[in-house]
Amino acid sequence: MGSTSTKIKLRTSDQKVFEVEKAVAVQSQTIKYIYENGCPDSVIHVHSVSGDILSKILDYCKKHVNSAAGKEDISPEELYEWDANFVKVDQNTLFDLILAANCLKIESLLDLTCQTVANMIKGKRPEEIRTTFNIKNDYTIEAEEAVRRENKWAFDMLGGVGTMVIEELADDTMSKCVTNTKSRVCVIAANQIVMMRSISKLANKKSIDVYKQPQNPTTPRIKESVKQRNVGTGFIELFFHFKCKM
Amino acid sequence: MDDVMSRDLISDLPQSIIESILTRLPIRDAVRTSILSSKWRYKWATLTQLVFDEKCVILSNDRCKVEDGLVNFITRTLFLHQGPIHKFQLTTTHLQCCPDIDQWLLFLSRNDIKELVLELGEGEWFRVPSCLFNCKKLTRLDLFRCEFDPPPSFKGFLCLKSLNLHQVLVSPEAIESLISGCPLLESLALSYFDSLALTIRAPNLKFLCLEGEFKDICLENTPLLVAMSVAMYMTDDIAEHFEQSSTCNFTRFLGGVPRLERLIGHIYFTKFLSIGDDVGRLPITYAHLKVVELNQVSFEDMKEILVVLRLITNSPNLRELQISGSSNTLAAIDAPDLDFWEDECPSNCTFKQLRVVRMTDMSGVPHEMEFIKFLLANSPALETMSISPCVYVMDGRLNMLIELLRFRRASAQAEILFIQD
Repeated sequence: MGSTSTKIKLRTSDQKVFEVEKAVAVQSQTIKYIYENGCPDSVIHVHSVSGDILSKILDYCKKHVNSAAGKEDISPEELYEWDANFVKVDQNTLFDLILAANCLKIESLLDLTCQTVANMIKGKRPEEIRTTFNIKNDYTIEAEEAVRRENKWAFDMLGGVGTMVIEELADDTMSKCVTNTKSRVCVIAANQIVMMRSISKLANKKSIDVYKQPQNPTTPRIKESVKQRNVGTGFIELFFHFKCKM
Repeated sequence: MDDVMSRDLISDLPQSIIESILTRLPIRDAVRTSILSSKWRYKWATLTQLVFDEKCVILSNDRCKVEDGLVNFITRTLFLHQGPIHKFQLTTTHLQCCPDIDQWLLFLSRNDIKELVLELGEGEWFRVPSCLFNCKKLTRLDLFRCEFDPPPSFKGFLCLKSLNLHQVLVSPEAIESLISGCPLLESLALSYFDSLALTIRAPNLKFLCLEGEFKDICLENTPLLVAMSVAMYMTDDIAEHFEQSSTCNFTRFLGGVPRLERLIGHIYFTKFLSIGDDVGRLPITYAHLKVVELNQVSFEDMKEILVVLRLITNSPNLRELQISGSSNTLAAIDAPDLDFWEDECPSNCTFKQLRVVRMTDMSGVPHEMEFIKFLLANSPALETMSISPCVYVMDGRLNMLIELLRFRRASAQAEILFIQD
């Protein structure tokens, strides 16, 4: 009939054939280019994508095409939710989707999947990231030291975002600082003598994590395990982690 | 032998994908990936987009420490970086004038910088160094709180597409020649300039955003303009200057924008347009104009009402109209000249595409009601007309409602919503 019902045939690496509407298929710039510069009736080979992955990708493209064209009554928030669920897959699938989106040049899908991976890295400590992605740490101790030294300026503090260092302050000043800040993490310096009263006052503040760097470890209040880290600055910092209630 | 399910799938991704992922992380996290494994040591170092803000460093009460920390962080990142840098963004209130910034800009000018965003703090404004004017590949420039003084030999940025100057100290001639010297300019935003008088010549300009005390604006050559948003704060000097002017601002500003699709006018914009001799029927039709929003329109000033009328009667495809009033019912005026509506409105005028109208801050003055009546009578496709009375008007609301009920509606499916706060 009209050009809206033109179909394009796609053959995947495992020899599966998909027939899709042109409007859906040309979300991929690669397919669009091949279609426009080749024989319109022939089958397009997508060598690097398997049937399962292509099927998922076509679902994505269809959803987005329909929502943009108004064929489906879906609000931007609902589409956002749908996208969020779309990427709730195992890592194998996620990375296959990334590679396929890259190869097929589907920008919005590539953005979505890369953002998902970025969210899995953000705010995590290196050990956690290695565990998540099965990255093997092949640094020798000396090499790791060297990297930390080289990037000391980036490794200097735990957490980064919203970390506040309080040094040599009186109790009430400290609690004032904490009240006025949006910080989530508060580090008290090694030589600070902090009264337990202040710590609990701080801890009662909404979701503030209090880290203490004392010379002597352990008090009975500590609920979580003591974590020890050598940050290459020559002394050992001990972190007491209080999680406090909202 | 590793189980297939626990393979490392991320480290061998192509660098372009790794970059896409790392760019979505705060830069601090991106640099920290260097510790993950030997493959990761320098994956961050070839990022072409660098975005710095206060989250890069430890927040502290000691301002100097934060400043030093941030300067150190940025300098080290640049020093260890490899390859071209296409985007550099720095947003911070902690740095103002600082010699390191000059050095960073020099470094960037040697590394093909394309997008530069500098948003610095209050205090002594940073003086942009001359190396910035050597960045030939610049496509985007955003400067906040700087002093900008191009050398005489500077001809413009030939690749610049987007320019955003906010609270920038620069001479009007320099701005004009900068705009004219950027032939590819598509998006221009100027805010918080003092008493700027400006003629804009930008043949490819599509988006314009102006905010501040502008003495005079003229759009001389902007045939491709698609959207504009203007807020003009008026001081007494400027108002006086306006009263004396006779050139028609409407044509000077809106005379050469046939492709306009969206027009948003904030405070005093309608007043600005109303200055000067009335041009009568306009020769120009805004065939693409779909959305018009005009704020602070005084329905007691006949000239302002004329501006609104001229605009909408020359926009056959108008879909959405939003007007906020600024009339003062307490200042009693002489009997309103209601014949005006008979005289000035074209009798065969219909708004065939008008779907949504929002009138806010309505005080119920006669001309406001006449305007609403005019719209209702001439909009056969209208779906919603919503009216929000001004918060100061309490007694007049019932009268407004009574009048509204009487108005004839050209559209059978028009809903009138009277929104009480």
